[in-house]
Amino acid sequence: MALWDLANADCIIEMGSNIAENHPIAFRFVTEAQRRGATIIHVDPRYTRTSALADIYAPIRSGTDIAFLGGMIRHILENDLWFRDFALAYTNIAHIIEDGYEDPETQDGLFSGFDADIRAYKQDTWQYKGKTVPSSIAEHREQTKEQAGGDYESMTEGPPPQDLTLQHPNCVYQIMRRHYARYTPEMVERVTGCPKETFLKVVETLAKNSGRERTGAFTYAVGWTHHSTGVQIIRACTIVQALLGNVGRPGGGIMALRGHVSIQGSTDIPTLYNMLPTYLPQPNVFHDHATLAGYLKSETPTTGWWANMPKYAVSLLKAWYGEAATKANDWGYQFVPKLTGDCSQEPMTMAMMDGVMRGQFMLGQNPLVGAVNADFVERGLAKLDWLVVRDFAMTETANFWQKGRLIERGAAAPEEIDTEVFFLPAAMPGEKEGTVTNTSRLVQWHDKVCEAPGDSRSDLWFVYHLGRRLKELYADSKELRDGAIQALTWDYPTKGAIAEPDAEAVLAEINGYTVSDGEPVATYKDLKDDGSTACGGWMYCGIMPKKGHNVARSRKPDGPDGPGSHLGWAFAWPSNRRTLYNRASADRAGRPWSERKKMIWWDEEEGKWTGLDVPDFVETKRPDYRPDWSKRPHGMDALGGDDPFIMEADGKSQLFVPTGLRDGPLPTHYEPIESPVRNPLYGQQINPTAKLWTRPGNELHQPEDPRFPYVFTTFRLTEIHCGGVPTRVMPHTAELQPEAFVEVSPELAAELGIRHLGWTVLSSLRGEIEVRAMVTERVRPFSIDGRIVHQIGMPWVYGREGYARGAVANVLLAITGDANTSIHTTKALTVNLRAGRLTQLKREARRAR
Amino acid sequence: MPGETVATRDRDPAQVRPNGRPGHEALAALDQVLTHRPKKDDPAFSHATLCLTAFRDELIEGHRRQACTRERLTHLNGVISVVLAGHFPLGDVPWDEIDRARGWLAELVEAVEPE
Repeated sequence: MALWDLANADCIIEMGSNIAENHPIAFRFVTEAQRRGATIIHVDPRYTRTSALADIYAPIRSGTDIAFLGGMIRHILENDLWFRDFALAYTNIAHIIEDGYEDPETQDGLFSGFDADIRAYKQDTWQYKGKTVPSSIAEHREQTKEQAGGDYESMTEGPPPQDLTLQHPNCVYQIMRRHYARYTPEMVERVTGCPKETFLKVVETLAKNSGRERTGAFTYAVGWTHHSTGVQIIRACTIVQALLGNVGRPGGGIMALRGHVSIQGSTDIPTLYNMLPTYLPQPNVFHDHATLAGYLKSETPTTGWWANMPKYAVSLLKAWYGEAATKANDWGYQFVPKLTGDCSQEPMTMAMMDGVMRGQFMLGQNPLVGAVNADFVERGLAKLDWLVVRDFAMTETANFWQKGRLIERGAAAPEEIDTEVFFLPAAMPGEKEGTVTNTSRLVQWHDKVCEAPGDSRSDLWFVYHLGRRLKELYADSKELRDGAIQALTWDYPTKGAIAEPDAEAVLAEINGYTVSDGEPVATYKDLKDDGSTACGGWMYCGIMPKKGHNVARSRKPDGPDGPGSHLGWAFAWPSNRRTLYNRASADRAGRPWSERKKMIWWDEEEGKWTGLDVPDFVETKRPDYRPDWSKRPHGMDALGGDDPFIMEADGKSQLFVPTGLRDGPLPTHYEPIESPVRNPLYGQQINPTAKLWTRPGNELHQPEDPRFPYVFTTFRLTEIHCGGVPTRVMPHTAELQPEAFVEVSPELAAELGIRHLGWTVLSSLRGEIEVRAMVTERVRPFSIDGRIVHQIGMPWVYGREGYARGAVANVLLAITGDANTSIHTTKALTVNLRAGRLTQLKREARRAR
Repeated sequence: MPGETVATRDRDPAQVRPNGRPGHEALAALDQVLTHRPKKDDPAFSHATLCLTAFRDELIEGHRRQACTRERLTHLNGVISVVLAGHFPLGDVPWDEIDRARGWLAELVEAVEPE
């Protein structure tokens, strides 16, 4: 959904997010919705400004979101509150799963297929009966040899088996009812600490504001993602929304509030190790990816929109390698690096410690504040030969060798650290042109307004000139491995005395062009797999549909009486559509579910879909089109005119996910990896497939470890941005939040003898820090499974540099990863807390230096 | 502090290869991994990686003295890539591939540190 579409919601649940404080610009759409009569609900461990402006506040213990959302699913199903016509038509609720499927209900928290030796699932028993379902390419999916022996052609033989009466014991509906049976309101209270009455009020309010005439939305942020079950938390929300019909419709949906103004852009044109631009999978050396044909065969689903993947992959290769990409050499496919293992940030931190890496670039990253287990990271940096840091101001990462925590406590001395550190000044946003892609896929161009001072350069300048020098260096090489650098097209025009690359030229390459004449490709539907088109990112195709026409510059909002989709404002991928899956805003016959909530509909006279947004559907596919299975249809021919979820192999929203998630087809409550309580729901304590690295310096606390009895969470502040640069170094933002603090409830403060603004020491097995206490009712004790559990929280944005300084919260956290995304846990762990300061010995060691 | 180390001590070749034959150390460490087939990120994997990177440091020093070819460095980097695939796997640990990499390593050690 578009951000402004939140204003059309009749109910908004803000969860895993402090939207008022951390996304204040987006929050104005929530206040507009409230002004129009919507009910606003905030579910959160802390009572924040978001809570203060909500109509209902529901407190929950950090890390128990699946218990809460699972309770909502149960309540919706058991009380028949779901939007039956929507869910029966557009989800896989009636699909029948393989006979061998076993649920955590019968396996004390595990799904069928779990291999305890390797802590991983085989997904055979999760499939639709008689089918092998490919996962959507865009997901971080389990990369076992699932394709070997897997037969995606089964999806072209006919639709998955269904029971529309919902009586079959292994249909998704019955499986979900059994799975969530124990997530009663009483259990929700027992696990989350949220009073049963409050929980029921939340779910009843959302349910009564859903259906044909009304829609509800969720907003979430890293309060959901930074957990060992992060993906499954979001999945639980998708189940709620799909059951209630809040997908693809005005005011309905799930708004992912991303943590940075262009993080969406950085995953689209990726900085992630396992994806090619716009969510194509990175080839893997251990799969059948030795040739382009093998890669495309094993990665391309046979049905649904992703069947077009070959066009996007070949066009990408043509953009990257230009004339060096020919049919004879598989369009340069051999130049693309192939994965061997997990190269995400956390394993690579381990690999840094093991001496694998010789050097690192840190571009706008400050891991000694922002990465978990900051001391571990610092030890790793000290093992590098070289480190390049680019930023606006000095960072804790850049001067670790001189002022780091290891130096501070005498564990290292600058003269003992061999790492050569290069600190290069970076241009600030107003000093460079380019685009940002925000949280609703909106790509907006911005011009440069002033020159960067001195030697400050944009990241584009840096990467372009680094690439240019590498190409010069390897120009005469005869080594096979240097072919990739040699083949890379790197001919962007530059301008000005410092030879700044033309960002619009880069955007034009991302948009795509026909190779023969260089003319822009206007739509991704025109991309080809025969080498005649080049495109740096298929989802962005159409952003520059004609030479000189940059849609991302456009700033034409709809007027007050306009459709409200603001198609004239910038570019939203793909194809400038604002709401994905908006086919679901119409019923099976193509009529809006209601006049009030119309978005697109079938125009019988024109023979096409039309409406208030760009239809997310084959424009001319009739709503009554049904695949002719006798012909074994592929691609979009295999999806009916009533299958809105075109990126899924069968066009249905997946309540139950047969393929693609490492930790189960249905969200299941597991405790955070560190928790002061045992899992009240199952014997399985934590996510069995969570990524854990137990090595010295990264030890974990066992459940109920009496040495670390308090739940600890981290959060950010409106006034201090991410890792702290540039806001800690700017006086006018620094003075608004001048010092680090830990939020402690009055009850816990009284128990521990902690005074407001008094010093405290927080400790874990990873490290300890001292920080002043803010005794506040923003955090409250919880009653969990019959006993009191205290929760405390601290902003993670402070460090030793700048005007606003304080302890680094991430010293306390361990390196662990979500099973699917490897994202770290920052929202729920355990610590100890005491009044006082770090011991005298440590202070003396610091003074001696 | 557990795991507290001073950086250069860890990079001190003498700490990792007390007998001056880092290639053989690396081979022995990899053999331990292959014998016991530990789970992901077991200390055995970490030790093998440390030994391999210490051997790589030796080859790099040798290359700078023009006493070692780039081809040997490439081979060793290939071994390290495969061992990392077992250390931090995407899906199944590729034991067959690690076995194969062991063969490459043995050939390399024979060439660089002949008995």
